[in-house]
Amino acid sequence: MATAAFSGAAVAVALRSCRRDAQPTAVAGMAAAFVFAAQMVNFPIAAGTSGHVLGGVLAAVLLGPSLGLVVLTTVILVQALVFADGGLTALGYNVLNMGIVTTFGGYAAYLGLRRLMPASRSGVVMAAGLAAWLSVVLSAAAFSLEWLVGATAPVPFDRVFGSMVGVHAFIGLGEGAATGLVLSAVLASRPDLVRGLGSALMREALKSEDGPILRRVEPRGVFVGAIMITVVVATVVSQFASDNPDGLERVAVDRGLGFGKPPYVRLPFADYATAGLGNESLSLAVAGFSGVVITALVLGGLLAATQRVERA
Amino acid sequence: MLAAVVAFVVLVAVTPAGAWGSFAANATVLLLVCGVGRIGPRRFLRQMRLLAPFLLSFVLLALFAGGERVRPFGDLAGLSWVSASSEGSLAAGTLACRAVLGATAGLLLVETLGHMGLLAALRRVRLPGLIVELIGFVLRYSGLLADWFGRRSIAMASRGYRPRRLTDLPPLAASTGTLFVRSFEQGERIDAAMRARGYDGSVPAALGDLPTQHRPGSSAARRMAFVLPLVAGVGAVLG
Repeated sequence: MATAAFSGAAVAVALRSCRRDAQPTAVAGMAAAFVFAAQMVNFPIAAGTSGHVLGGVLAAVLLGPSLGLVVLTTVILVQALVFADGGLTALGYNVLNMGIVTTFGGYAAYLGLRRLMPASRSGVVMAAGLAAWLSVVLSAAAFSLEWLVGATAPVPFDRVFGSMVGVHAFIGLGEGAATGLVLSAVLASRPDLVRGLGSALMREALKSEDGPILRRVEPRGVFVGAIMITVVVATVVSQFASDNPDGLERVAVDRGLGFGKPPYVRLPFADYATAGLGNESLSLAVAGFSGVVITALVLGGLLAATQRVERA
Repeated sequence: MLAAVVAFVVLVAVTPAGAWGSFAANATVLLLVCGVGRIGPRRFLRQMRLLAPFLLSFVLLALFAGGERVRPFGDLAGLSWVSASSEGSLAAGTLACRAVLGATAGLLLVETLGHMGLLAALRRVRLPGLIVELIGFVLRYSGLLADWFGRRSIAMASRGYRPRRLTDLPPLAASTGTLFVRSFEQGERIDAAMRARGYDGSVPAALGDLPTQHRPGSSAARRMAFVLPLVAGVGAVLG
């Protein structure tokens, strides 16, 4: 239920920032039909196995993150309602994992990676491909985190997390490769259709005659530095954090305010330790790192989605 | 009817684990309504085929989850080594029941309302207009797009190219990109055609008044649908 509420809110935000005059509804409709049909196609991996793509990052880069999320949500809804493929109660959950984490989170990753890559078509393609791989891994991680909070079945968290993320790190390779390649094909024929291009590339794509393109001061260094510092703090410095209770906890303990009761729900990252990982420092590091990554990407994506794209 | 089925699915989801009596009652009522709606066993089996991988994973869950082990075959000749996790089996059974009931309810919904009826119902519950329109487009054009993808495979095969390995991905992806561009342009043409016929951006209100009988038995099933959440509710409470 909680995931349904969150997903509903996020989709509402996306709908609001989706301007209908930006793309005619029919175009968005065809895009949705395309994603739906493309998800059914299986591409070969090796020795008889085949895989499918989700297309979250691809949709976000081609249509913009808000419309991308709306399109993915529509596809998930159709699968759940018409084909009874997804389960109606799991809708909030599915939209969150397969829609929101892949489109918003993946788009944020794409933006970040795009700044690190050269500002050219191949840079964009590489960024999109990597972001697509990351979106699959994050989706699996998000699923594992939600599993522990809401699951019916008694499988230990580290097993679920490890196997889900591990398998999807492999599956994500296919998604990443497919996303990058499809994007490069679209860029080759109709680059003006790709809404996710940076403003410099967009101008080049629209072939404006405004003279030399003024390069903005890309805050690349600041961005990368900030991310690195956050990660280092969350994983390494936190190891040295004091175990003594902080001010609030100290007062609570002194006054005997029920800190002794076991928690009703054993959350996976309770007390900043990853449940199931025995080694304390590794457990702390994983918890910190996961928290930083997921939060940063989802919120970053939300921010990017609600900003207006400036066109030349 | 949409509300009834959704309520049913939600109530089934919150029915406590192991409430086999409730699940049985739910299944009976559901099958009754399906019978009234003349939904044949063939459609049902097709739906179950979609569920098959999940059911398989439930079996794995039963076998490999943690917790105490139980021997379902006791000391039967040669089968005493078969053991399953007791908690896992409980969970797996519950999940299987919920999955089958939910999927069948979904099947009932679609078969009884029909696609247009479903869209009308979604409008009535005030799903955002853009999403309803997009769903309509997906239902209408995904067949066309799937056909395009099929033709792509045929075109490749007729030129002697069958992708077999991951390294064969580039041509597949390149053609997929072309198909995206083509579908985009098709969308623009559709939009122009719609506007030429007077579409001004709003979903027609007439979508709400549609004939109720999608197929023989539909209106009867619709009328009966309210029973589903009632039974499920009782089942969820009594557990």
